[in-house]
Amino acid sequence: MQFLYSGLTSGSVYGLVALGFNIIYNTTGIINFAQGEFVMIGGMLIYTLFAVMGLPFPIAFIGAVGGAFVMGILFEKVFIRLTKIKNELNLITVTIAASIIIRDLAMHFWGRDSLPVKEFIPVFNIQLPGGVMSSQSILVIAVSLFVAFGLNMFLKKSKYGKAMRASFDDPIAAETCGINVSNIRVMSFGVAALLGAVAGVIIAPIMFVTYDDGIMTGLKGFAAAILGGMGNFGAAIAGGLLLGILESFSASIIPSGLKDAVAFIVILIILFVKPDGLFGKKKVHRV
Amino acid sequence: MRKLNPTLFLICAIAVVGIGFGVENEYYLGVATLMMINALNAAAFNILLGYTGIISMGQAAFFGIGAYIGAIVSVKLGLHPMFAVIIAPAVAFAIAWVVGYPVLKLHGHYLAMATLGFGMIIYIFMNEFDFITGGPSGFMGIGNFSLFGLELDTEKAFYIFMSGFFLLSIFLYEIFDKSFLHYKLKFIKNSESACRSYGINVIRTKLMVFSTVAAITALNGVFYTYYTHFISPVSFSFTYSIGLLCMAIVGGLGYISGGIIGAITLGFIPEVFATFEDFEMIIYGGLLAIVVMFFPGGIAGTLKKLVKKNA
Amino acid sequence: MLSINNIGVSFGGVRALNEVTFETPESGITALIGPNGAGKTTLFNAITGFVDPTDGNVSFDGENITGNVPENVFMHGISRTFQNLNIIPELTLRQNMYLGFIGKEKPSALKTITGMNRGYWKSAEERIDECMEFVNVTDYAEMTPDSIPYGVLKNFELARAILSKPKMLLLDEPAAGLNLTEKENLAEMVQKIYSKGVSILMVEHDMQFISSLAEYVVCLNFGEVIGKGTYQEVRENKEVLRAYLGDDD
Repeated sequence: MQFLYSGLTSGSVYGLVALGFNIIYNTTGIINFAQGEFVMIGGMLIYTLFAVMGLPFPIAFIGAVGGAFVMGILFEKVFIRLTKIKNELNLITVTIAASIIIRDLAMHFWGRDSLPVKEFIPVFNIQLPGGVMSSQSILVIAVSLFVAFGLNMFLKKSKYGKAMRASFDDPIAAETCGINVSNIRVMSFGVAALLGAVAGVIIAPIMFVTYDDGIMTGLKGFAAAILGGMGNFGAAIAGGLLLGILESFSASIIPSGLKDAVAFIVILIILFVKPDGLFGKKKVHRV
Repeated sequence: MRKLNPTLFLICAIAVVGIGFGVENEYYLGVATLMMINALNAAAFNILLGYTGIISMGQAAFFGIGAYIGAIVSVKLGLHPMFAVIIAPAVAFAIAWVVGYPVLKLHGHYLAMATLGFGMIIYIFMNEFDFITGGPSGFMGIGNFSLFGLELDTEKAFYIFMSGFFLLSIFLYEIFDKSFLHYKLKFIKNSESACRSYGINVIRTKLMVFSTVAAITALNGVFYTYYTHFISPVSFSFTYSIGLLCMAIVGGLGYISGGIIGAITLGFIPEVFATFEDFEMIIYGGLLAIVVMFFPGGIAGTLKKLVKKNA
Repeated sequence: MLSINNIGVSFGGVRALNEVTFETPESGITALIGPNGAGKTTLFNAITGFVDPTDGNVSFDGENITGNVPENVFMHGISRTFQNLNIIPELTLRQNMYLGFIGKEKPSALKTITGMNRGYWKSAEERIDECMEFVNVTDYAEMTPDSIPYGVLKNFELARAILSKPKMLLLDEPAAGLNLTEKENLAEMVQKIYSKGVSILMVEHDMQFISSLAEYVVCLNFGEVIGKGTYQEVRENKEVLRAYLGDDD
């Protein structure tokens, strides 16, 4: 059972990253390969604001998440907006280029070492059937589920949420109805960056923050998104949790170094067998 | 039949011969050798992405497979390097065929993710199966390449050999660029549906291209091994796959010269900016972003446009 | 020539085609009409193997071609066009023509690699010249598509479709986006191709375009055949009128 608990913790983070991928994909059709970098940025900002500058946690949290939000918006305004020919390949590539730039800037800013962040809440272990879970892990899971649920309500019920979904379904029709589609696109990048930063902040005390964390986190988050099925928020979280559990389960039976390969093997199998993901709706393919 | 255009070949030949005679410094000969290996990989990658529209983010895996086969043949099996030259492309071709069969049915970011996943798996295996690969600390003591009894034991000798192979490859790439096959691939990139409705077996053609490019990449990997005499998984990570993507895009997708121009441009960055060592990656990323954003044809495409305008 | 028997196609829960049955004359021009979303293109896709019919079968020239992949349907002698042009912008019209040739007459791999396939190029070029001449686009052969009028590109598409000498041509909305003169010109070309013994089945909205060409018309609505017969018959068919004009006639 212990693997289940640790899987849920890392799975929540994958889920949040997957959610970020989904938000951007749902409103713009773009896969943002720099999504993982926002997780790293979240962790780095909380390190600076909370661990170094010693601000009270709530303020540091708002600062870190807000900072990432602004970065997400700048990201869209610079990299996506200015790309001349917006085909799938160019957009994939420009986000890869951006991720290289962000990662390297972070290296100059924060250095190459892994940076520790002290706990936000008292640390204690809770005895659960078949294993223990630390208070920090529970915080990670709770925050992720809360964010996912809140986001879902936001998109379903609020005016902005509906506008976001409309912009993806049919940008031209949405524009005609008075929705500012280009604002929505910018916002989706902001929100996705914010989600990534939340993940980065809550995981920071458990795992140290390193400038190149973003690659693996991003890939795993993308894997989770595909596992669950693109275009569906519940599926993103479910995909993340499932991936986390699978990973930590496999770590208990095979050498731990091979653990990372499991995520990718699972993804390959899913892509071959059910490319729309486990919980995704089948899309009608137009020829 | 479209006429072969000798310009690229001649420019490369002059450059290669010029460096061969003019440069004695071993370090610079080494830089040139590595640039040629990268250029061939990038040109092959360009056939995949620029011509056929297959976005593969796992090409480093095939480069690595070739390199490790080269090392194993030489060190573990004690065989003549020529065996590696035959075995490595064959193995890479077979692996690419098996992997490509399901993967090439995917498109866009799904294809990117699947190939990336494949690359990561191979990379992790290189690190973990240390009883074969030597693990993260690498594979040492790889001997020299030899050809018809001549051992390539100096930088210069290997440079001359690599130049010959490089020029031969460029010549073959040029023939490909003017062949019917190249049209077939461009049609596939443009619309797979239209191709199928005109009787072209899209899946099989894509598999052939993917596997052939994998074989070429693996062959370059063999040469890389015998050049560096030491390999470790780091050289075959995701970063190298991204590197090839950068070279092909910066150089110009869909032009044979694209991969070569890209490899040389990006190859010069660490040399020119040696003083700002740490900023290498930013320049890399920045260049890639600028080209994608503002010059969609890459260097080759932009040059061609300029020439056309002035003509 | 082409006989569609009880074809049904479902996407998930959506029934796109239901019990579609008709037969095109042994030699003739047939038009497939119907409001948007009636399932015309889906039927084309089912015939040419892009969509697997859930039930029913398609036979062509006496052979069952149901469930064949598009490549094989082409080999049986059916050529088709799509609603979009599928022309590569950076290639000349002549180079774009190669698409129609490569699939049918496969160049030998060895000769391609060694560049020794002059004979192949020669036969390709001759056939391409012939077809371009046939639809009057020879003048544009060496130009790239961005500098060629849309009407000419539509003609070019016909030329490419007949390169392989098909028995039947499936045209998906050939007249869409053309002006009156261009339409007349296209109709003339279609007629000319038909006169060479190629049967034609086309999806088309423009009734005037159809009236001058098609002897036989099939009307689809909501995935079902609601009328078939000669142009006049279908024109007067009550159900067809209702589908096009609404219920309040």
